Amino acid sequence: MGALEGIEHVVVLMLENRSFDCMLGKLYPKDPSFEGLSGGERNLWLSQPVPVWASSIPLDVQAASIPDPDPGELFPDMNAQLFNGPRTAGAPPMSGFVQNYMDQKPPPAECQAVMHYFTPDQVPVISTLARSFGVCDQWHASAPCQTWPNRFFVHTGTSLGYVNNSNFPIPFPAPSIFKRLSDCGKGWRVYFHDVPQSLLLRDIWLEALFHFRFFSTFLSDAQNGTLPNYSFIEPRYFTDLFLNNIPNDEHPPHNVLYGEQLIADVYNAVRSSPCWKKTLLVITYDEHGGCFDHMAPPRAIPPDDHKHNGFAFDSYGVRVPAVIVSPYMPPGSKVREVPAGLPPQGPPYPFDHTSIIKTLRILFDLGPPLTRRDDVAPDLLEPLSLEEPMNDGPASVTPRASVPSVPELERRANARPNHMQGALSQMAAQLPSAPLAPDAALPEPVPLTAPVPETVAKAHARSIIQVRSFLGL
Amino acid sequence: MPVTVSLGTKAIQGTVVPSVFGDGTNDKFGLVVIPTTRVFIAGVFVIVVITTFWVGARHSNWFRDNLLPQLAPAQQTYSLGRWQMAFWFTLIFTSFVALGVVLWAVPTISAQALALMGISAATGGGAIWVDDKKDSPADKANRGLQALGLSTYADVTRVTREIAERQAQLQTNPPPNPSVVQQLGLGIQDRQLLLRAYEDNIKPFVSDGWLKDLTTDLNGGTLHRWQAFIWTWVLGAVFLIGVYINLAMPQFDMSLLALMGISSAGYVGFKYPEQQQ
Repeated sequence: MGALEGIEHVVVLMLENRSFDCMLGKLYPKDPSFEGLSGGERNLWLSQPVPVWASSIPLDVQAASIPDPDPGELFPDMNAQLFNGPRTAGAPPMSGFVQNYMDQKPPPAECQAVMHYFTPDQVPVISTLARSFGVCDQWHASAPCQTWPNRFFVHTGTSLGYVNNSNFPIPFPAPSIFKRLSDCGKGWRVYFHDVPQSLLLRDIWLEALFHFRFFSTFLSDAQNGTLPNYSFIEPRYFTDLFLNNIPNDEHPPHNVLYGEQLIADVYNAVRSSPCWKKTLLVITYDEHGGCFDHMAPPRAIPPDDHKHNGFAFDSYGVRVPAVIVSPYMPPGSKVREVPAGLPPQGPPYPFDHTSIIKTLRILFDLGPPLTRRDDVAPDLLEPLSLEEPMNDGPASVTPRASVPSVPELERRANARPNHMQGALSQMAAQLPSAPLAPDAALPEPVPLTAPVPETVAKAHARSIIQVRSFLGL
Repeated sequence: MPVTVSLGTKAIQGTVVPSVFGDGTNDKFGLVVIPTTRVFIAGVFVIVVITTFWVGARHSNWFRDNLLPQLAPAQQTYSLGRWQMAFWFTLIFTSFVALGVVLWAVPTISAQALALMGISAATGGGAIWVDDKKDSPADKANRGLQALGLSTYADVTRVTREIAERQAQLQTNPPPNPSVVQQLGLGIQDRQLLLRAYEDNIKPFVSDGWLKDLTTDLNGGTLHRWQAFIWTWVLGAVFLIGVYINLAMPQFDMSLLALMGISSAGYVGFKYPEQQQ
């Protein structure tokens, strides 16, 4: 019995804003079958080469938070990073990361921050899982866009022409894979820590209170063997001083070691669950967040006819880390759609976030594609090549112990919200104040206009009350 | 006016009752008659002191922690360490003064009474020291509320007042123009959310009443608090009985003092890891 018949539970953990080279570039050094870092990659700054580099082991808090400050994430920043200037029709030279980073106002102190990568010993959890199961070095963000467009690609197969977190309509009207699962009688849950971005999806507002649960429920569902068919896990985006909780989304400049803790918690829960033998766990990131990657994104099939200032979403975004965990995955797998390397224009196409939609549609017989993008996306079932679920991997993974200090917590809490935090607080402010009745009329989308609170602490405190009110929690 | 008093022992037939006073040639003993007035004065004094402490306990922060400066004074929890200190101080002080009034002489404060006061003071001080040292849930709540602009209870009352002011502006005649109404509405909503965040996060630290505050932490009843509470009452009763029977400061057995010391040390020691309400 292969994966197609054996997999009953798909779990996706999507973290924030790190490139493939940043997290896994040195996973298999000098391996010709792996598209990692050679060490010679560089960008220019003031005509001087700025090579890729790693901090010394072990990581301290400062090194684990590189790059600090956060690189540019907006659509113009993405174009500048890839093209070192305006977007052109040709293949991007991937040469503008440092220039774009230093173009920020005020300019950061260290130009090499965006060229930084973590060695496998410094991020042992994701590295161990990548080596024990499968790593995909051909997984790109769905578009060279910010977080929200890419997260909507994983839920709906499109961003309806939006390229940045701001100005999104609330609720977001594109049909989602969650609604497709509900319509086909399949179970799903979004497990979240504070403010789930997926709550913006319009077609699940009437049933959100039945499906959105705190992350602690994921741990108990896994332990009890009651995981739904599809679990989407959102990390913690805000600092919570009341509980001494710090973001574990790895969004720069958040400390990656807390994300390692989250990955470990998710894997350990799944691995020890009665559902383990029937589970596929995907650990990935929404977009590269301005961190360097050397692989040029290929051209893409536009998901629909929406455009942004002439950009037709006919290009993938930068590569992001993607680790595929399943007992059906042979250990040490390098998951590649094209063994010899991707062409600049497909087919075949790389893996992207719509590969998750494609995989779910096939596994659970969910019907036709949501958009043209997931129609052509490769699915994850072919790499799960073991006939029986034999690869149990490590019984557990242990992250490096890391407890946030009070100064670190206070610094994060009193900082200005980043783009993601600001957009989430706007979304929360415009949510209905109570769960909607099953027969309520869905509100028409309106722009996000709520003011963004001046600190992370204020944004968080207000947002979680509003989210809990809407979900009846 | 002279009165006749007789004093005897219970006779056992056929036995000789020895004299307990003097050498048998000039047997005398003193009998002190305590004027009712002095007993009354002593009683009134004890009642006044206890009432003063009782009223002080209910209407001041004498016996309350100050875990969260954002709480109203009446919401602060009662402190077991401070209560113990006050308990022994009240007991020893009232006994000392009452004995002095009744006997019309300065009573001797026994070494054991001094030791009791010392143990209770050390317990109270130790409790405060532990609270100051550890990063408790109250410290987290304090930091969280400060990050929201709520550093003291005055900030909370200010926000409440600002909501009322804006609501009043909405009721003016003629009503404000739509953009002002929208601004006022946003301002009210923002402050209401702030107060909800405040209410949600102070709940674990608001007083549940004297007994619960003294005997529980965030996780409910705790053995180290209950044993300190119970032994304090037991030893206090032993002390009082001793004062009443002997009309003097009691001479505690050393083992009783050691019991008090161990009980208090247990409370302070277990206080460090507790999740304090």
